[in-house]
Amino acid sequence: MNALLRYLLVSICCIGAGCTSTSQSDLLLFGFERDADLDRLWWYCKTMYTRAREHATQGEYSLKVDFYPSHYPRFEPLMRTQDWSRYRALCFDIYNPSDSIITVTLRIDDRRTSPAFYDCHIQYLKLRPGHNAITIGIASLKGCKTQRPLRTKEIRRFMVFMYRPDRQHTLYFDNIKLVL
Amino acid sequence: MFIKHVCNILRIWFLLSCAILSIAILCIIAYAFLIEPYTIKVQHVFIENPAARYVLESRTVVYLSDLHIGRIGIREKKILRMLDELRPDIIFLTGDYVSWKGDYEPALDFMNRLNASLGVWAVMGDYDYSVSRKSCLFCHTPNSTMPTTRHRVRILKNQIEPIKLPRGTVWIAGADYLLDNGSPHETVKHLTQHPGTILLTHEPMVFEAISDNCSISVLAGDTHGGQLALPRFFWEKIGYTQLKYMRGLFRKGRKIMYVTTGIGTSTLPVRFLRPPEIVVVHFI
Repeated sequence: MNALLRYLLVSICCIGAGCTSTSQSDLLLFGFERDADLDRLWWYCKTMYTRAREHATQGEYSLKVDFYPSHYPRFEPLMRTQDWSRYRALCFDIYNPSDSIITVTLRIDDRRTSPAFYDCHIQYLKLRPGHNAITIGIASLKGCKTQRPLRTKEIRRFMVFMYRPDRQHTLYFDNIKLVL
Repeated sequence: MFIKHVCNILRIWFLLSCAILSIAILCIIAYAFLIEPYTIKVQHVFIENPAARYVLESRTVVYLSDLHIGRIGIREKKILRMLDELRPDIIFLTGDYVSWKGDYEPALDFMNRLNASLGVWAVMGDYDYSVSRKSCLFCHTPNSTMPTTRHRVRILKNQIEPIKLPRGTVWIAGADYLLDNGSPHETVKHLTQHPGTILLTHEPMVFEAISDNCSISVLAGDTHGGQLALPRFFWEKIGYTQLKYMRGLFRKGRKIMYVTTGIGTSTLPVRFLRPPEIVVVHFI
């Protein structure tokens, strides 16, 4: 009987420890390891998504994104985790396979419907050829003109776009995560 | 004794009335679920657009909307038969070809079966984007940027295209459901630059973004006419945003819009006093 109680106690402690360690670890939003991950993206015209085995920084696959010449070709995942307030930073990796610097724009919104451009977080990312590790401080998210701090409990949109590229560009995204 | 007799008669009358009422309600429900959704009518609509009338002459323009195809069933086969009889020169489609997060294959199959001598033009609706990845299948072959070979329908995504005919050109514009590509007003301005343009849109509210001075003919869908003939206060109560343009013809300034009740159903497979319609547009 005592052995059984001890076993149950140890089991409960183990489960508790597991939960604690999970809740305290980083949250991987996208690793692109499964084909179904492609269903968790917004598919827009003039942007093509393909899972690729090249340039993966987490697991075996990365996401190859082709931006074609158009107004706003963009990479935009469907947001499931909207409460970012617990986390310190949003981190992701972008591999630039070209031999020149590519500038993309990061946009983060705390509203989904008709968000004004000037009231969302805008940040220009200059991507050097090769691997780029991006870190965005959650506390630094502000409306670009209004300077209003974004409601980090209700993040609705996260996208990386190019403005009117004159030719096709390819980038590889991987390991999109929220870190504590 | 007399009072008891009267009471008995009243009770019988009451029970009989209840029975008749119940049967009537059951008949209405059966009609709304089993008959009206499949009773497709051909609606002739007359829209003032002298430029389009001059260029199109007596060509037949047919317009369908909100098909919500789950499979090629009785209704879809009937539409195809009716279209064969109408022998359209132009077919316009104004979105919602699939059911919410449903299978896209039947809708693509249906599109492939559409025939019109001058062509078929379409815009996409909110349901068509319900599975974002699959929405690409309307325009592209799977997992590629190559144009689809599944059908010959021209999907307009905030684009304008000319139909060149012996007597001139008529412009077809398509406002995409995802109009907010950064500058919706600029997009609408771009789409309505040619007088006499026929603008296809899923959402009737686009009508409000068009200048009153534009002589534009707008063809819209989305509302299903409410699907059920319910009183206005009901729609107001549930906060239905498109109440203003539920069905029929609307005119403001020089712009004019027809909102069709569409073909299919959403949420519930029911229609009551809002039968599905194939619209034949006559430009006058």
